[in-house]
Amino acid sequence: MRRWRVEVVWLLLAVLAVPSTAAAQRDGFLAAWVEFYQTLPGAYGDEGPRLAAALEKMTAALAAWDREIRDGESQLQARLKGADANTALEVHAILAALYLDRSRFDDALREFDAAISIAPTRAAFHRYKGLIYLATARPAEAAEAFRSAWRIEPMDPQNAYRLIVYRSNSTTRQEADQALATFATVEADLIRLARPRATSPFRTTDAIDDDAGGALGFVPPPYARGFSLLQRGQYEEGLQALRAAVRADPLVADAASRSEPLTQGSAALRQGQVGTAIERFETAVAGAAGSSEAHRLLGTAYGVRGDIPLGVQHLRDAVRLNPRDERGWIALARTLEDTGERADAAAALRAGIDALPDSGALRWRLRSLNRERIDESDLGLLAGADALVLFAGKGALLGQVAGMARGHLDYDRALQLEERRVALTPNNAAAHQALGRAYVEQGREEAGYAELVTALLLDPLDADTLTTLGQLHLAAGRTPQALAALQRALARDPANSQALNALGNALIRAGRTEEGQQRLEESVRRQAQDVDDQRSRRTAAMLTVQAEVHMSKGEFDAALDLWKQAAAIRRDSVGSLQVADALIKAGRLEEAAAVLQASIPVNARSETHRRLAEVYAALGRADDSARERQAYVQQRLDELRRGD
Amino acid sequence: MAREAGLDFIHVNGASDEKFLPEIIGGGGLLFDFDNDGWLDVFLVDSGSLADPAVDRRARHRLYRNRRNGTFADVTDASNIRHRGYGMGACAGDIDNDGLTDLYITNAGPNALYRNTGGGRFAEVPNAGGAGSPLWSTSCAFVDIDRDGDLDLFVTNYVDTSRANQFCGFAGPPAIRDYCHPLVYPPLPNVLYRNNGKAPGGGVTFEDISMQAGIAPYRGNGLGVAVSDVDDDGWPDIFVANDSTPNFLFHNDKNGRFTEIAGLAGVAVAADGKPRAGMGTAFGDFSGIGRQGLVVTNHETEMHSLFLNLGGQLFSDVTIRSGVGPATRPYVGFGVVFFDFDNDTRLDIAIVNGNVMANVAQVRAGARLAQRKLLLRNTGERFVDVTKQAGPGFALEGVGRALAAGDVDNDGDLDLLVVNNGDRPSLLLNDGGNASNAVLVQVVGTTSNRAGIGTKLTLTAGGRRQTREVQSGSSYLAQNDPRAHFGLGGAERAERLEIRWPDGSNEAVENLPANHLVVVRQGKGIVSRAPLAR
Repeated sequence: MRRWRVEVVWLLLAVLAVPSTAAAQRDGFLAAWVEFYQTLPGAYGDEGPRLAAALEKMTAALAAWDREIRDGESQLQARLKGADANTALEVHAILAALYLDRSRFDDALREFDAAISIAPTRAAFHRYKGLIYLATARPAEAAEAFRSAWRIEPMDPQNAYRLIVYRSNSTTRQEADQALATFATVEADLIRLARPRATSPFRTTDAIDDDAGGALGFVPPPYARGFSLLQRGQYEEGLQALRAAVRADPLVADAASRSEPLTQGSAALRQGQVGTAIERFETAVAGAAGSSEAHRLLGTAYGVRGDIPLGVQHLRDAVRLNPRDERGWIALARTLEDTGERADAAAALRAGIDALPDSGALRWRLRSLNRERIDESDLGLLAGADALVLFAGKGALLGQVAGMARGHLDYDRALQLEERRVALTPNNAAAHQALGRAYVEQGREEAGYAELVTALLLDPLDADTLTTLGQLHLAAGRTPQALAALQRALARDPANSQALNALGNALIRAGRTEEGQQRLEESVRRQAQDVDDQRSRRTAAMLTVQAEVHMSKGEFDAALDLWKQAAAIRRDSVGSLQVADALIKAGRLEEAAAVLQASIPVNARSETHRRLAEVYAALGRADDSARERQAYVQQRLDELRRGD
Repeated sequence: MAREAGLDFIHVNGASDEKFLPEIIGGGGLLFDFDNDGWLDVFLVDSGSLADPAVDRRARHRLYRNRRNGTFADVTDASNIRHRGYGMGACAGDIDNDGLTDLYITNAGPNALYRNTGGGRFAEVPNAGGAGSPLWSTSCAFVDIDRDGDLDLFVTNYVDTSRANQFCGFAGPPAIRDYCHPLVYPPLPNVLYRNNGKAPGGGVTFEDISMQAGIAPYRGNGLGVAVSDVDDDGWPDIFVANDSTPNFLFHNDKNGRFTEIAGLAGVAVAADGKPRAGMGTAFGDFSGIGRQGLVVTNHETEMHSLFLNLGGQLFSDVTIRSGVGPATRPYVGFGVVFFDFDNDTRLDIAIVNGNVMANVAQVRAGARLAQRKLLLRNTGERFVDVTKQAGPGFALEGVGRALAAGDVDNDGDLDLLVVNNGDRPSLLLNDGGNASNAVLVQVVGTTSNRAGIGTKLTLTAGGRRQTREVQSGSSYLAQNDPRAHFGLGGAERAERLEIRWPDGSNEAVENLPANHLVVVRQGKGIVSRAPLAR
């Protein structure tokens, strides 16, 4: 959760007191919103009342927030009467901050304008106006505001960045060149380590920081509208939409969810009493065979216990009874995927997407299964990614979808997505780096340069950013700059073969032929290693595919032999579960047990324990089987608790 | 308009369920004048089938004689050129300096050499005169590496598929087989054959000098070959485009040896330090600075590479800045030529593309094997994609492989021959390129090899200087018109033509009239000039 800070550091909040309590109410609202989101997965089935409670917290916090703002307004506006310029400026700035926090954009603009009329050379005010214009889809005015900020503080790299990126019609070539010169100075300072990294210099008007460290917080389709309204600052309308969604949520609307057997089962599952949970859920199903919730929870509980066929059966019943409940599809797909039934998992996800075309979670899960291909469902994701609603992580999602777009050879689309990613996570160095590369590859050097230097500003030690900058300078004939960037890149990452190759070329261009040749010779050696690595990877992958073909034909020994060959080439090319599966089917149970046991310290997936339990049971090793079964159940309960 | 012109050929690739890799790699073709009538003829290489003998028996190389009226006659039977093995590409050169152009055909297997005996007939030289190479050969080029006046031969080889054919593709179910990536096969060396001169009974013999020349240790997945004197020292150097491994640039050390310098020269890999799927390649002075730049076609997403020759055996990767990179990113490129299609004095680029995965739609929804060609116009600062304005010929999609440029109708602008894998070829006649002026120059060596291969020509017209080299090989499994074409723009004549012959001697001629085919014989100057049919 991001805290809004007004940049005008001379504000004496302690003196005025009022705004800090408004901030506290805002934080309370946001905390309740987070709690609401975290309750949505509904893993245990008893989350209905919790959803309603979180929603009430949000409503109360919003009301309190608005009360605090009204109180603040009264007090602050009273101080305006007869105020001197400094006090008036203070008041307008605080009011602007209060309104901005509350997404009352028109009111905030008015206050910033008033502040600017008193202090026209505060670049920050113009910058905030620009951000508000962006949030309200007024790009031309945003560009002008950013330009005004730049004209006041041209040496501030964030002003230079916005001048280039949000180029106004009034921006002259000379101004753009000046901004680029600022970047050159910043770049040189960063490389010389004469300038510290910038920590979150870019503000947005978003209440929740989208950058969740790579995590993707999909919002279930029935809640998408409500979340979207909240994210635009339309809190009252958003809460109203969420209320309607909660009312219709199976966690609330399914009559069985309030039944005694179901609530008892949920409680047992929370406490890790899986057997009891199953018993109660069975009773619930018996009493309400048409309840998708009952089947979903029973299927989940069976899955936790390792009774996969029963688990899958009830989850399939759940989605059959309520195909518009995303939770059922997710649970079904997860169970199938975890147990190695990838084709069935993919089929389930496709069916789920047919029923819920707006489900980002299902689309992304399917995409994760099909990483090597782009099929028709992925095209839907490519086209519709912008419209998906996430609580956080949308920038990260768009970055990954941009990768898909490149795989589909749609470079324009990839660029659009990278641009959106940067807009959502402007303090993410990797986002700027990716966009910078994309611009450079399209021949848009100025924009690419601006993005890359910004990436460097946010993370001066990133070798890939330094390397890309060096390559850009080298291609443009700016050899000294290329040398500086590439030498720094190699200092950070001596094994970076791209930097090595580029540095070798740069040294030769600079007349340092012997040094350059040494670097290039080293680069040639690394290239040969890279080719060998590629060769072994592809050969191992080929053998693995052949093994899978044999498996599908029931030729288990042939499959095992090929996996062995693949593993001899690249140890990481073969999964232990695949090998174990083949050994089991070939009747070589002792070997299967050994493979599974050996894999546990390396990669202790819950499914490994379950398979091992089955193998031990087949071998008559009841104690070992029970131990592994218990380990499996415990891991599954942990996963359920974490919401995995 | 190949079919209307009489090029009634369908490339037999023998595509099978077993997905033998050679099936997706061919076919080749070239433009040359086998009967010395001043009109370009066409030779098309057929492949065959590795899976089905009955299909294999249908494969036939084809020799087409230019009838000078826009059509061609199939004279294959009379030529005595027979198909055997699985054909890949070809190159042409006068190996015995008898004034008749001979043919070398590469195969996935032993190659073949046909000596032109005149009268439209060829005689196969047993064991290719010592240049049989049993490996999977792809592109080739004749080159006088030792400047002794006869043509030597360089052959690049691809990968070793001699072991059992591997299943690659998708496990499914259902399992879908596709062509394997070349990196799962061992790479092969290139072979350099020295021409040892006339053999008893006619023809010449070739000797494999790869080891003593210093090229034998270098193994790659060779697909394209282009020859040029990259450092302007008067000795030809040889570039090999390797598929997924670093390219080679063999610098001629003038003493029968070569040094591999691609890494140091900056053409082994792309600017990001990674090798590309190098397929087709060509040298050309695209920047007009008098040094031969280099283009290499690569796989989709990689961008086809363009390297600017900086001199001193150094190149700069200008792929992105030149505009070539962004325009080519979605394509799997093969044949490529530098040619001045609009006679504006600047070398443009044409590329034929086509995928290599039979089931590419499995990887990328909507993807197809056939891809469109590209025409990139050189504006002097960048290359701009003008394919959409290039007419119906460029609108056709195909599984493009070989590409050769030449003035097929002797009207002063360059036409294009395209060979498509498993399909008919295309003959794209340039309609309107000769709205501006041009001159075609044919060189005839006397102390140099008779075909003049390796000759460097520098023409001055209207204050501009342009450089061309007479080359064998180049592109992909192909060879271009051996005559040097210069667009003159609005200039009515070329003031001067400087000639550096392959043996190192220099000569100059002056006042070449625009829109003429000019023949220059070594030591004699211009020996004929004939107006082009505009």
